[in-house]
Amino acid sequence: MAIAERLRGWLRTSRSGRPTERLQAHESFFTWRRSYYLKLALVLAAAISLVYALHDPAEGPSGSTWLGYGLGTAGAGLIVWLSWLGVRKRSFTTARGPIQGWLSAHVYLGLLLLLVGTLHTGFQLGFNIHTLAYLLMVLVIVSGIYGAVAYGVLPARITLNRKGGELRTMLMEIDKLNDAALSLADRIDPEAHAVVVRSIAKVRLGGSAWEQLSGRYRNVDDDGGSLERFFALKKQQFGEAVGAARARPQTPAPSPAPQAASGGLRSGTTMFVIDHLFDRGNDKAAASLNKLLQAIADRKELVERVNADITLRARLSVWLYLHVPLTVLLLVALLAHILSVFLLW
Amino acid sequence: MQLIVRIPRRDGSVRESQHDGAATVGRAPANAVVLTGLRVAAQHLRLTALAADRLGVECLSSIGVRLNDGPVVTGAFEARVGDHLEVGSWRLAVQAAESGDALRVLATDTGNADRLQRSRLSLGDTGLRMRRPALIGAVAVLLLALLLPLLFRALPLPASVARLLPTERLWSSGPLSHAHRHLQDRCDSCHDTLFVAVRDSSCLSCHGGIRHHMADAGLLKDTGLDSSRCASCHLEHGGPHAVLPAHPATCTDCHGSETRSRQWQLGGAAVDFADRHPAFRPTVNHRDPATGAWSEQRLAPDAPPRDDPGLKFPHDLHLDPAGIRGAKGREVLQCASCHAAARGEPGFPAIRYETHCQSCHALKLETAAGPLTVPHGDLATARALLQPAFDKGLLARPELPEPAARRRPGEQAERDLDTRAATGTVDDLIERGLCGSCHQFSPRPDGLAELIKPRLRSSWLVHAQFSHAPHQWVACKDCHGAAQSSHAEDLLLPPMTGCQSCHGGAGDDRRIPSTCIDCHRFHQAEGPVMGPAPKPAAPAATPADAPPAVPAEAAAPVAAEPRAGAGGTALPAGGG
Repeated sequence: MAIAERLRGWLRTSRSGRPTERLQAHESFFTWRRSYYLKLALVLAAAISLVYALHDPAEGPSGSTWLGYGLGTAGAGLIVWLSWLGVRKRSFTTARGPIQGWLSAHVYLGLLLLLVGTLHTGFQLGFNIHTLAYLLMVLVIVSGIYGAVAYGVLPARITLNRKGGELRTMLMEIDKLNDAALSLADRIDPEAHAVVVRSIAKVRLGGSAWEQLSGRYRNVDDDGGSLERFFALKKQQFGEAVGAARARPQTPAPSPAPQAASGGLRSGTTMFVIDHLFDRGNDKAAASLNKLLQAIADRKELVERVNADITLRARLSVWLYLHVPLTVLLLVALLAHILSVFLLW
Repeated sequence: MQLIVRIPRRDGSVRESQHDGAATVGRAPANAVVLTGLRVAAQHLRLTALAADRLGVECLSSIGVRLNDGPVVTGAFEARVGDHLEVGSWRLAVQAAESGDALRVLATDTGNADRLQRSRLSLGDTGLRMRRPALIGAVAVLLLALLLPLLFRALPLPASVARLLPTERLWSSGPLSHAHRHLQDRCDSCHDTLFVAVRDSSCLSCHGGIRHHMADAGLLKDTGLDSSRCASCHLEHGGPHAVLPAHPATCTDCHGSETRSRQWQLGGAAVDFADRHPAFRPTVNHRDPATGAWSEQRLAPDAPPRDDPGLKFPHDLHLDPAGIRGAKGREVLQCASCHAAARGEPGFPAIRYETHCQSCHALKLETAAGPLTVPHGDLATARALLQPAFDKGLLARPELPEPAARRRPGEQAERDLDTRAATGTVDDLIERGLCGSCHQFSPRPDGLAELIKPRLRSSWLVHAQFSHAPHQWVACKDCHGAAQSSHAEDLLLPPMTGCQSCHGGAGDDRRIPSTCIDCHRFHQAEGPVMGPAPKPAAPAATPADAPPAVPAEAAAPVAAEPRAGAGGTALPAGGG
């Protein structure tokens, strides 16, 4: 039959692929070997759907018809195989075949399982162990779909957020900026030093699971703008000192203390302080203060990026905390389902 | 009170200093205890040994200190033995000294000042786990769904308690049909042995005496029906009515085959009532005019629909819309005037002279000597009563009915007219007037006429079951052409197309979807009792010694006389 021949050809091109092409560029598991497993899953899904549509059993569609038993056996096999695949694809050292291939099969055959399992039920659901097994299977697959989508979308965003670095280097960078800020503050006066130490002690990276997932962190940096208020005060003191030394009556009065900070350190107020200090000449303490502000601003930016990184990684991995335990539950429920069917045959 | 401060060095040695009462701690060299690191203030703390187990802590810097991983504290407070303070990357543990009048502080550089602030950098750090919930969940599912139900199955629990527990009800694959719903808490009433499919003995414990499809044991064997289980056809756990095998395939697996239907001498293959169903072959009574013997016949599909009731009864005359002469003048009869089901009756009651005919057709004669009444159903007595009056000339000669009075449009309108020559005896009166209005007579060798005893059937489609009850909203004339029938022999059953105008096949969307079991039954009265074959010692239950069979078409009105040869139709239900 021409259609069957064409279908075979379509699958064959996917399977063979072109080795040179595959080596050249990174190949996503979504499109591994020209989406071989996607095509396989689609063909199987179409075949199963057709048989189900044409099947008209005397007792109505259910798990106990020949098709029901067939789909159930296939589904149970798929579940065990996919679970084993989930373990297998993580063992890089002994894996046979490329990881992408395993993963591609896991994703597309896992999606196929949703159809196989659903048709196996014959849409007979109720308050029983059989429906529990089905629900667990659906939850595992839905969490897996989230995982597959997350793996397709989030890694690029993580790379972008890290700006070529790693989390480890970003954390080291924060340490370096903290040390620099401390050292600069120490040069200004003990009060400035204490303020900076306190500020550092309050910097919190990461947080609870909900904070990580939602991306809304409490107490990220600073203590309600106290650092900013402090430096505004310092700036004022410097301004007065410089003003008095130059004894220029026409010098405009130092700016009034800025309003309580409402934005971050990179806000207008901070820039105003920095600009103002530059205007005041090359006073040593003022220069230290300027650098200190810069270090703290840089750190704040870095902290935000680290938290964004934590959020992205959390969103990338959260599904596994459902997918893996629910898979174990599913395997046990599947065992109970199969056993109970034959216990009360 | 002495304060001992110990600071372990990297090379393993320990620097120990002793202070009388108090010591300042800070980064500046002027402090009694110098702690390095930019997070330590020049003067950070003043520690005072208050007692052997109490340490006074006074913060000299606004940086403050963290006590026991709590929030940062500033000001003065007391720490106890076992507490620890955090200053920059240093951890100061308050310890009891060897001597009773001293307190020791062990200062260690952890090298990690932001331990607490960076403790939750991934979901794994927040306490989310995979293995533990998986293990707990797996054990819970195993217990609740498998082990506890198994345990509770073995325990004799009262139903009220069992309802609250995870019993084997959790294994039920779906709701039971209405008939078996009362068994839903007692799985073992059907599933008596684990890992063994429901056995027929479970079904027969309630449904004992149910009969098989046919009497022919060889045919049962050939079709595999002898080894099929109850549950092969009756599938449970599928909803309110699932236990009734409504799907046509249950029957058409065998009856859909043209070859088999020929082999079994059935009317034809039955696949779907609307598309492929053998023509109706009504079972009728037939009286051989030569011998007078009655027999029951199934009409050939193309045979004229005639049934021999042994009566004269023109439906058209009785249903004349203009009315008919009755006991109290003219009256217009309806179908229900005779065929009326009483409340609670399964069908129409049998037609009886006393109930249905007598009011108009009273056996009462006016004679010159007064009225003479003869009994119904006793021809000899009637003749004996009439003969003297006839002999005395008290009775008028019977008036032969005018042909025109009975004539109605139709081919055989004059068939009922007796064309025999009058004999001049009382028999003329009996055969033509008094009894002959309704009854037929056959000649006897002794010259006397014999009244043919009527046989009124109540069911003609004996292999199907039809009930008027669900059809009571349909007008009689929609199915029965009684108003056009002038002969009692007319079989007034509607043709199959009449049924098909409302009833379609199982999957019909425009008509009433009708499946095999809407009209037919699998379990036939003539079949052997189902269940395991009785032991040779016990008397075998055969159709012959079985109690009188309840006809499959029990819902139909009971026949006026017992149907001849109920066991004669050994073949499975075919074309009705």
